[in-house]
Amino acid sequence: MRFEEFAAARMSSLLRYAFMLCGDRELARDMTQEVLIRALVKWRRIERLDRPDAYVRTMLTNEFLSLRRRKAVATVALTYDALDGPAAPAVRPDDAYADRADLWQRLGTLPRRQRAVIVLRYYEDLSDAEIADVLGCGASTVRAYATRALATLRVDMTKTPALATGDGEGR
Amino acid sequence: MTTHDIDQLRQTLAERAEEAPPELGMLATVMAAAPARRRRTVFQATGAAMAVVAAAVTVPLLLDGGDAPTQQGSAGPAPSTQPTVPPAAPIALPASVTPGKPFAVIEESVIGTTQYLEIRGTSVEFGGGAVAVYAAGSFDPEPYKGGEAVTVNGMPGYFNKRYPLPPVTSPLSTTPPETYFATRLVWQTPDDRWLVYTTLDEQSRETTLLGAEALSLTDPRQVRVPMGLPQPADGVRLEAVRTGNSLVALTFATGGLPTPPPDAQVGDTEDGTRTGFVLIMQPRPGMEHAIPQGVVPVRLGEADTWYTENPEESVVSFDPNQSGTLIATDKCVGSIRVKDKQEIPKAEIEAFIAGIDFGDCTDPSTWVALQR
Repeated sequence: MRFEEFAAARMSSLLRYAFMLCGDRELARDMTQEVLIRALVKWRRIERLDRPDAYVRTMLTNEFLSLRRRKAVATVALTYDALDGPAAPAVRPDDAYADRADLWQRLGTLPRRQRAVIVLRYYEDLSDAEIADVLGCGASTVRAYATRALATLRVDMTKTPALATGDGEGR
Repeated sequence: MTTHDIDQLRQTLAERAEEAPPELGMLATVMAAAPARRRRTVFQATGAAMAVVAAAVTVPLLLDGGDAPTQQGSAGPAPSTQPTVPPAAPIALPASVTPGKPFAVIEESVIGTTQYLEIRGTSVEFGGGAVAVYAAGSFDPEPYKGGEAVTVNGMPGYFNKRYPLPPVTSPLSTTPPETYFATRLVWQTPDDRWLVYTTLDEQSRETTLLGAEALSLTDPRQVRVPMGLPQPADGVRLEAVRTGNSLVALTFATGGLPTPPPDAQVGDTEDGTRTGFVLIMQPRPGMEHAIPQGVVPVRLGEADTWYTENPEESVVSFDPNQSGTLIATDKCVGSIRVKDKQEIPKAEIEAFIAGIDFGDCTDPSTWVALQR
């Protein structure tokens, strides 16, 4: 697969993943561009891999995790004010939306590795073992991050999802 | 207190993903920026594999024959014509961290008299960070004295919750450079060395101090590497070392290295090299896919090698002044990147490689002390 073909197929999902990680559109774009440039530089090696997309996703994750070390980017602590920006969706005055806005705001307060675990687990649908590979740690560490993050997010693992009723929301 | 369930979390993420930025124009930007990046990054740390690929692409054009690959590791001692480096003071790593808690060392490097460590927390409270250890007389603490005076294991220091870092300008960003801040703690040892600890995540004063207290200056430790080295060309000296992540990077230069910038990090070890060459070695397992297939190597001592200096034929085209040599043994794979092939021609690099006594990159317990 040529790089251009890969980029055309995956760029949109990489941008979404980057945005999930950092919560900032400009930063997500910068991170994705930076990673794709590096991927292009060594594309002939990457394209030989079984999962080039997984490799580039790991590159993007590492880019996110190393941002503070290199640039000390302030934590993207999303606030309701920030959500009122031009990219914010129109407000839907229902409880479900308020709940999700609360979750998004709390996600922005998580330490970086915890945030990455949540996004990889619940947005990218990776197993804990796969997340461990991405983050370069053990699966038990992933579970520890997830437990801490879910507590911060106030996600109750024992709570019965309303979506099980088949109301058409979510997954 | 409001609680949520997993499906609400999934739905939140899926919903917000739609706010991601558009990809408009990004591919063109990436394609335009990559050539310059290739020149800058080829054969660097993560580029050992790239070097392999580059060699695989270019070597057929450079080599018109040669012996078939021999059984690696069975050739006995290298037939070196170079004298080995006479015993000298080993390159030492003065700083260490308490094993296990709360940090593990990911990588460490020495540039001149300054040591750098990248550390990662072993618990969720400690995200990790970067540490620099400056030799006596080589650090200016003045910029930090506006912070809170603290003590670290009884040593005086300054805690700066939001220390401003130099602005980072990105050619890709359309926004003005921003000033970024780091939580940084600096402290002075009784023998006038300074430690600088920058946290990876924002940390409280208490957590930062706890982490700093785990960092200790130990008796100097020798840097250990998976090979014995011959004497490089006249005037070329080993100036910087980086180890970690199963990789060893040695920077040889003429006339020393420029003083690293105040915010240098582990990975900057090789960046300052303007002369000489960088040798990178790492374990071969896991790198088999990158070994050239069907390309006849040149046997030098214990290693199969592929030399290239043709940037036009390389997938990772680099500075035309440079040359690159892929090196592979049964246990190691790596590369040598020469900054200026006029300064250090192919024959000198070949003689250097032939004199290397390669060990087992996969087993650090067998590594030997590095001599300067």
